Amino acid sequence: MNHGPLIFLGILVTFVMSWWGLIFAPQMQIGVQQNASLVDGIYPRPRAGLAEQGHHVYVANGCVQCHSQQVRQESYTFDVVLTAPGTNNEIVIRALGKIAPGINAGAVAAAATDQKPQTILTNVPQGVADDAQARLKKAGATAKTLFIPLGVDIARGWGSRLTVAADYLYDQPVQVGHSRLGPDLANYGQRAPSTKLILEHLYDPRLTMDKSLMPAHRYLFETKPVGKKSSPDALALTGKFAPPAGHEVVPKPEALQLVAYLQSLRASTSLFEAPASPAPQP
Amino acid sequence: MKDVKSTSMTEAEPSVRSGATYLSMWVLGLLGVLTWWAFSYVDARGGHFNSMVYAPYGSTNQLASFIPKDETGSAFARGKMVYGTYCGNCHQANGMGAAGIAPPLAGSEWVLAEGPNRIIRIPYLGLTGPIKVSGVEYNMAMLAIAAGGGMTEQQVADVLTYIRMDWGNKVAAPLVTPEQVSKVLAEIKARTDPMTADELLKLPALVP
Repeated sequence: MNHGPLIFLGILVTFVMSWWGLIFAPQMQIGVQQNASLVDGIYPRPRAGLAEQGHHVYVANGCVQCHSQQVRQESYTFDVVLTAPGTNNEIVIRALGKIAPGINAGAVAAAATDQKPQTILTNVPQGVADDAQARLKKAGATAKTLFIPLGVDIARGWGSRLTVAADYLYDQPVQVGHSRLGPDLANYGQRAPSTKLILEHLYDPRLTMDKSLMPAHRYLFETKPVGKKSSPDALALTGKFAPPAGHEVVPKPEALQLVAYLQSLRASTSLFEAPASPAPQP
Repeated sequence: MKDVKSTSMTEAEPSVRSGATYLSMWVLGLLGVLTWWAFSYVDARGGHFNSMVYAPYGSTNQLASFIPKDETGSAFARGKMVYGTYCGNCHQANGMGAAGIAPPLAGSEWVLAEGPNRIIRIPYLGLTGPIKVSGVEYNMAMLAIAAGGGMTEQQVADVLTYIRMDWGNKVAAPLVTPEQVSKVLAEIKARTDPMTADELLKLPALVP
């Protein structure tokens, strides 16, 4: 019996299905991603030249082998803060007492301003937050509902919301990552120390962090004899990290590009698909 | 029913029987229930396969409910549409007006007044006679464009909110509410004559 056509059809169906599921459907879903138009401009913005070059350094050095750029989020909750107590203090204090019996309503109402929002409710469902908003509005006060994303990565301080496709719009190739031998870098630019400290960390991670597992990237630096004057961006190294006498360690352009790229990693803007409230000012 | 294979074998060998067998109804029922559960699971959590919906969120409607309600912002957006329909022909899309047709709204001290009490009257009664706007004297007539239900109170409120916010216009509290509009409407119920600049100036800026 000739099973040729049947085998051919079977193979075709198998390939078409995987092509459909892995390529065509995702292309239809997120292939047409565009920058989001926000009140204060577009997101994301193309990287500046130095940072764009740094992206290639990041790719070339295989940083993606140990660092992910992907913040996970499991759930969300709401906080309510009071920003203006309005004019009718007595009614506002009564409303506050009903909304949150635990707080010192008088002190909260007296201290609340736009610059110093006072927390009324924390970790409440949306319905409770909306209800509190309505009560306070009736009393003439102004309150803000803060949207708080929750998750283990967020708890570790790796981000303020989950990362979404829009965050990677200008990454080519995307460096989402697959293992986390080091911390997640999706928001590194937000928490990064000074350029100098990042450079020191790249030169030898043990300089800034005693138990770091990260390999030293000394080849991104140049050890050269000190000229008439020491170079302005020479690293200040002492002890066992110090270069030979009369020498100094200066970053090569690649190191500076990589630092610019790391500082440009900021997946924290609140988006429609990934809402996050700005942290209230302390 | 005996098939060929079993007859060809010796009796000692175990027979392999081929042919039709019936699926128990309970298996079919279980499969049906499982399929229904799977579909409803995907339906509830799949976000309708929308590229804007990521776990842990369920749908675009849910995401929209997280956006803080901004009355002024939405009034601005609605007002811009109303402006294009009713006002933009004469006052121009950039609010600069046009010589011989309409005075500017951008930077106009009438628009930038503390409250909308005066400007609510203009679309309802019209305006005639000389009027000074940003130091320039104009003498034209504006029709009572909103009179007799030409525009709803909501539309008037939205468009006044809009002109108090766009083109660099900045007012401390730009939002004009339909309640303010109906309050003013009750005051001018008996009147049909167009307003004049002098009469407007005698009124307080804030809606009482």
